[in-house]
Amino acid sequence: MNRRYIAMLKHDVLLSRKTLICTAVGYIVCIILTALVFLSAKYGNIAKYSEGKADIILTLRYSMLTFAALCCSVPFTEFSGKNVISDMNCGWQKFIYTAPLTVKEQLAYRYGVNIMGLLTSVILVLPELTVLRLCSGQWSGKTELIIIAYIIAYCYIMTMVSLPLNAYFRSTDKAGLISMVITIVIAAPVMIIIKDKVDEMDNLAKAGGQEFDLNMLTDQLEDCIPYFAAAVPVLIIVSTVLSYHLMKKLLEKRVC
Amino acid sequence: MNGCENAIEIKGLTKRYDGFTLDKLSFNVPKGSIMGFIGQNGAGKSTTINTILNIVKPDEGEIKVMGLDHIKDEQEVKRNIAAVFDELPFNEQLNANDIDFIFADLFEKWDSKTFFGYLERFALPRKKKFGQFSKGMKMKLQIASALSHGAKLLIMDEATTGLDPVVRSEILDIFLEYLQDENNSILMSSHITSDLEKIADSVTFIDKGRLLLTGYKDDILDSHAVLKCTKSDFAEIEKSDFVSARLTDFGAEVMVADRALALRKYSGLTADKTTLEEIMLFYVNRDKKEWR
Repeated sequence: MNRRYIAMLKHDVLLSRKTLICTAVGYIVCIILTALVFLSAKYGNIAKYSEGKADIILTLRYSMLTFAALCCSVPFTEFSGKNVISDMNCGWQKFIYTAPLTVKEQLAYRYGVNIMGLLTSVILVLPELTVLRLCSGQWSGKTELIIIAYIIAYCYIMTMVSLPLNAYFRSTDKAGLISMVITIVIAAPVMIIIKDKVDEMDNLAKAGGQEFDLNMLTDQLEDCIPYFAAAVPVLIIVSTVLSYHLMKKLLEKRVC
Repeated sequence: MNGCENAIEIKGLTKRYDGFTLDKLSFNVPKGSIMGFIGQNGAGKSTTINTILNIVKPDEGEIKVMGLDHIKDEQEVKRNIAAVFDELPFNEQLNANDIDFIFADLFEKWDSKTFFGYLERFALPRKKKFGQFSKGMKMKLQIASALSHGAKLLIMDEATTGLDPVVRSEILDIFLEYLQDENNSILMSSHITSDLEKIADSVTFIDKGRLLLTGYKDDILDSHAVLKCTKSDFAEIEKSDFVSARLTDFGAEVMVADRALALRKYSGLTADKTTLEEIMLFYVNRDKKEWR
């Protein structure tokens, strides 16, 4: 392996060591909390006090999963966000142009780390799912898996969109705002469809005097799931390719 | 100067910006020497240096570093050069240990022993974050890292500006040691001409993007002179014979580029030795010809 990739990784890790430690602690705490909460929900006080209130357990499941998925994605978002901006502002990027590092190597590292981050996020969610299964006795349904995939993909796409913007604007204010707007526009169709279905189900549940069950959402979204499943990888690939080419142009122009 | 092997060869370098043009700049930095690159703020020194480093793309011209094309052979060139800027280009959260940790993989010839040797010599702490360093400490650190990866050419952009005389003197001594190896060369831009007078072998002087002078420092200092003359003496000097003249209440100080010719032509006048600072000052005012 090219040692210069290791040098760039070391630089990113050293700059983000606090975030890495915090997210690692957050992730471990999340897994421990999941175990404690769901053991309690099965055998302890939560089981006693939440009897007949399935929505409490459901909310806890979603909260834990969302937090775990976010913990997995945050470090890689920071590598391409805060680190890229500080590299531009402190002169590191200018220094890198004087070092024996090609633009291709810089891009290969930057995008390689993000793709590895995406895969790592997927892998790191598995222990959380396993703990949930062991402690609650119930495997995650399609809805939960879709939510996790959606959060990880959302973080990845936002990172891809923001990477060239961070390098260009050198500030989180403009780059963050623009990338958030772009990502929201990309994610909006999915959100609108889900919101319509949730409203529809909620109304039906109220009319029937029943409680709204979020797990039923997957059944309602059955027709849309293949489209969602296809859209996520397409958006990941398109955002990566576009981001790569924009970043390549910026680095070739020697933005610093 | 063109007869020897050069560390840098620049031919017809042109870079156009809105309101500024680096105009067909040509000069060489001889191998094994230190060249002072002088000029006012905005003269084009940083543009030239950034172009050599391929941070700025030239519109025209050719640059060779160690005999290699600075764009086609960029990787090879960058293995053999080190750049030092006026500001520390490392994140303020990092410390010297971190730099050693990163650079061990970034540079093939990184030498931790040399790096820590320089840190000790400069009395720089290993664990203190750069954010807590003074300007002098930051510059010493940058120089320590630049000299620790086997670079054959050191390119410095206003590296000694803003440093106190003690630190500057310490750094200049290090440069002289670095030049003990005759394969090493330095291009050093600065407007502190006294530093260059102390250590430079050759000097290139640019103004408003144009080359004014380039050559060995001693030749430039020997050929130039300041004629001290009265108002009537000054009236007799042909305008084409001098660079510019500083008018005083008693007469004028006239900078000539050819001391021998001036003394032959105006034998009654005395020619004083000049300095790089004076040369810079008189050349900058060459368009006005007479100034106060």
